[in-house]
Amino acid sequence: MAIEKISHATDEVVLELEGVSKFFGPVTALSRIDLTLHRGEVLALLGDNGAGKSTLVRILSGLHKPDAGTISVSGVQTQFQRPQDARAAGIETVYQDLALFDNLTAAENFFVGREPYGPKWMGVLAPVGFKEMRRRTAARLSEMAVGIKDPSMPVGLMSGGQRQAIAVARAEQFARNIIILDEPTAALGVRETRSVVEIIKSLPAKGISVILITHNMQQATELADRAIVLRQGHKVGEVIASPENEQEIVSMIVGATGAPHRV
Amino acid sequence: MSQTSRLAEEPAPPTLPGVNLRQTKAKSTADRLLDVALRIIRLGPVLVLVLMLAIFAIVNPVFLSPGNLVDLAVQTTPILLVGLGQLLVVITQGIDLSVGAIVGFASVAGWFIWQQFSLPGWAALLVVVAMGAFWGLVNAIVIVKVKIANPFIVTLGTLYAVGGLSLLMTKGTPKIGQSDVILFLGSGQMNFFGLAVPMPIVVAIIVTALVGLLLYYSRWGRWIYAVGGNPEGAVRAGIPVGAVRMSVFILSGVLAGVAAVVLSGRIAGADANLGKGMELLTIAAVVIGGGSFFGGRGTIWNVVVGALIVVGIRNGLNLSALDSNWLAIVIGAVLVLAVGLDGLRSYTESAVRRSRARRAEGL
Repeated sequence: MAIEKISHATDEVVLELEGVSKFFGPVTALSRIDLTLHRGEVLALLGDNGAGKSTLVRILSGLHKPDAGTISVSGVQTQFQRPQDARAAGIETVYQDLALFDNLTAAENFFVGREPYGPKWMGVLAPVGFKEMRRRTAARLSEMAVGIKDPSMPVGLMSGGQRQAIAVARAEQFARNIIILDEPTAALGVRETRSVVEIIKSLPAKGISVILITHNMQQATELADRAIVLRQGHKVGEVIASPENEQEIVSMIVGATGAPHRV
Repeated sequence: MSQTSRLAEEPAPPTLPGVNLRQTKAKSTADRLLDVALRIIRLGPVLVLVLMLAIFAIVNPVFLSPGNLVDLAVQTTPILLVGLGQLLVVITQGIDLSVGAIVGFASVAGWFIWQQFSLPGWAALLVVVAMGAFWGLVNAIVIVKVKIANPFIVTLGTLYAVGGLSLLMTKGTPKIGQSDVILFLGSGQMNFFGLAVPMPIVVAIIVTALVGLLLYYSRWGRWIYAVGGNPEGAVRAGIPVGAVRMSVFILSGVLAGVAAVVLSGRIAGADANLGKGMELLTIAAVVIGGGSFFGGRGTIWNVVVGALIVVGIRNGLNLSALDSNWLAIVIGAVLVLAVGLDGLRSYTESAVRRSRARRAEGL
């Protein structure tokens, strides 16, 4: 069932990291990471547990500030002080387990933290535009074949695949530049994994770049154009993601080949 | 249901096995049973209320007399008012043990300030509410800003300190006399189409409606549920989690102040012990009414039903010839039943989730 991989990567650089480092006390979580991401490109971020993937994701989503180095989005150097800053820069992150609010409906999850609301002068007391939320969510969900018909259903009652579909769709709704996916199919069955993978595949064609964190090597080579391997906070390799390179990637992850700072 | 153009453009044809979750099995009988079970569980507190009314009505027919029902409603208002504040705190995974002490303090401190400065009635009213707001603010700052301890410990501290402070001020004896506005709100009546409605009921209805409006329809209300459902996720979603958590403790204090107004007006005085035991009764009301102690869930109806059950049990036991010590036993039993229902609800919900996942996998 070999499906030809179609790359939507363009020449436009949408994200550039230069020498990004992060220290937690004496621990070096990330050491001088360079990274370039093009528009429409899918980049796999690989590495063992503790390699620094999560720290890098947290920096890119505004939860950590880097101790050194620069981040540029579409050529403009930026600093993310808060999660809102990353989102304002068009970067959305889908977290493995913290993505959704079980007690809220699909529509409320879609717009959580940026609900459309009534008169601006009423501030946080302004009424929320539930109708608009439901309408826009229903429209988006009907495009995805995940069988969610009712945007007013609490997310806590949905299957893992439906939940992940909502999380990715929510990111897509708001991401202008990049979606970061942290282990998007880790907790899913085979068929649900399939449907979420299809949703991910549809992103690059819309001009969205994807950073994919995964332990699933087959998924990385199927979805990604390029793979970056981290080990102990260092970038130890950067290769074209293809099934032929799988062996090389695995050895870089476990440290059998590849020297620190090799690009 | 038609495939949209977006999927049709995909390199992978939509007929790929497993891609379309809609092609999977239709809703099974087991699923329908789970849905029905969930609905019954959610209705549980209302059923308990109806059962309670029926039992007490059989034991003593006076229980359902119009006079006693009005009494019951008036007695419920303080628990309802304070319970609404408790609900907001509990939704955000917090707890406020200081509300009872704050009610007593607001009553007493407001009384002294009213006497000292010979305040007009409306100002005396505002002072009592402000006293409640003040301790709510203190709780909020210590819990959220100083970050030294969890709500349980901090509000337990406030409970003791504020309670002691009020007793120190009154030397343990209730104060007599109240301003006209507070007196009216606590023991006055208002005519609605020839029906004399006690003011505490009017106050409770207005305040409950206001809290409900804010909680369900405002952005702030959405954020309260978000913070309670997934605190870390709320941070990542850019919600001002600290401000939201502070606001619920402040509002809890404000509502304790409002309850102090009603209670002080009813006794036509001030008493440090006015809110004694309210912290636990309100938590019981929230949980018995169907709110979840684990946060994220709860409506104003949960508090209304829970407060009616808690106060109704007290009222009904008073009317029956039973020893008044039964009160604690019955409330305890209903509380355990309510927690059991909450557990059953989350178990059923995860059963629904598992069943959906199985269906999606075509098993």
